[in-house]
Amino acid sequence: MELTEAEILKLAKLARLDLSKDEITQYQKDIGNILGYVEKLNKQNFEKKIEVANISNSQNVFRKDEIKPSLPREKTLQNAPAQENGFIKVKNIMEKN
Amino acid sequence: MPKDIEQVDKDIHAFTQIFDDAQAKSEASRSKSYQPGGLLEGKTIALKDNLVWDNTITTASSNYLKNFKAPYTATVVQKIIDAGATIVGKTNLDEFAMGSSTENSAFVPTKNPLDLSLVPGGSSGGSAAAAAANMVWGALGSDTGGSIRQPAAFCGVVGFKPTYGTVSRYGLMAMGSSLDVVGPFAKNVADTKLIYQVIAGQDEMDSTSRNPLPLEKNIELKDLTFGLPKEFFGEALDPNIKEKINNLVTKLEQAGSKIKQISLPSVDLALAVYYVLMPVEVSSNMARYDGIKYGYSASSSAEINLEEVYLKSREAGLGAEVKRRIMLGTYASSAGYADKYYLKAARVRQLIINEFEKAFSEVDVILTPTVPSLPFKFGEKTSDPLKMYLEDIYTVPANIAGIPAISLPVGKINNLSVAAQLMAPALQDFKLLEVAELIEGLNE
Repeated sequence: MELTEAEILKLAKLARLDLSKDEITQYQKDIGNILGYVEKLNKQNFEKKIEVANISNSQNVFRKDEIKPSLPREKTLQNAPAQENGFIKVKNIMEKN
Repeated sequence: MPKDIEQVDKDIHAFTQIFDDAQAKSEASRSKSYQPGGLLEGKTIALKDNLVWDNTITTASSNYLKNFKAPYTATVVQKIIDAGATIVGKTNLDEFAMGSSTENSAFVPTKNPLDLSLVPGGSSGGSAAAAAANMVWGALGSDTGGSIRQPAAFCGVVGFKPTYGTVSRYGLMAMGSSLDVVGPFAKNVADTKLIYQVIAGQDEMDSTSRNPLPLEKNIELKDLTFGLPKEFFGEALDPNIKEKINNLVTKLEQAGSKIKQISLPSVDLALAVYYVLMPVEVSSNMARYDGIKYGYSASSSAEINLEEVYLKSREAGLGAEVKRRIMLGTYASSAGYADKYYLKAARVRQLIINEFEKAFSEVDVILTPTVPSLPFKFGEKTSDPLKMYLEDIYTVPANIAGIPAISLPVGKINNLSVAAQLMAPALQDFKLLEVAELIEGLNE
């Protein structure tokens, strides 16, 4: 099976990836092939109810509600691409009116 | 010591970084928990470059993190340091641990020390090569679908994937969070066991972590039943590897072990389950690399808006295999497809878990080959992603089931190594290591 260009573009938008034309063509083929391989899962029928696996066998894991030191500000900012006044700086998120 | 490593590594490229001041750097990182005479006192260790160490560049072999200086230290790294080890460097991997040959490293591929024209396996190729070439006493890697065991098999060293959760993932850059396990490489099982003793145990920083069962009393081969699942000995298996495994089985029988032919029918679906569940988890885990908080960013460009920062930072910083898996995972978890793919795979996963549990009610340890074929040449499997994915058919089931699995060398073909894989029930890590050590002794 092969995905359409529109399907790839929709996935790319969801995944926030800016794909080139070559990449779009390549992924149409690659993802189609891989999906073809995993189709065999759909032939698997469950005789009785099988739950979704929970691999760590854990349930709610809590800690005591006590204040502990968090990552110091300088460390948090040390890799930030843009910063100002001790904050990570981002592009405008609201339009000016 | 660093000078020798640099010299040897010129041909192999196991390392992304070798520390000039390795001993001093490790000593300076010791916490209050350090005491002299620890289990790893004086040992040299290499870390896969997806494990963070405070104030140290950690790249995941990705352009996205080429200049990323980690702001904290992984639990396993702190434990290794506090046990007295010296960390000599960070090792190369397939980018963000996605791959089976280390060819997906954004920097340079690592070569197999047994034959420089062949791949070392992946994704922990650098750690496997560093241990195999005696550049370090031991190394840490991570295993999500076979990324410790397969390179261990290819490079002729021991590689151990512990039970899911028995080693803290705090400080391991997440790939597939229900599959990832940190584990050791070493030249023999005893050294592997030593590293595991140091790194294993519940950690409050990782809520999926738990303790393995304690070491059992004296285990002997004559008291053990080994299961051979027929699904691991089919057409995909290289006959030369099959022969070496059969030789081992004969030795086990001579030592008094019982051998039982078993079947794990759902194992044929394990790779399909893996290539649905893992990409879904990857697409979620990779969302943090957005050009905003750290790493490669396109934000310095004045004209672009916020969404374009995400798009352009990710496009430029992330490699092809990473993007492929993000796309696949986005599809398999998207509205309209999540039931058909993700939920289905998650339920087949439980089937596989159940089958292993049933098998372990009849046998103590499951014995299989680690890989279907010998190490391949660079570029041999890169044209078709599926071809590369099929390298993992024997290793993936243990990650799906969360059980411990170890690869150890059991024979040679010319100067290449042949490995066997042993698997045990969840949390029986120490028992598995004992059995592996007995088998190693058989072969000497």
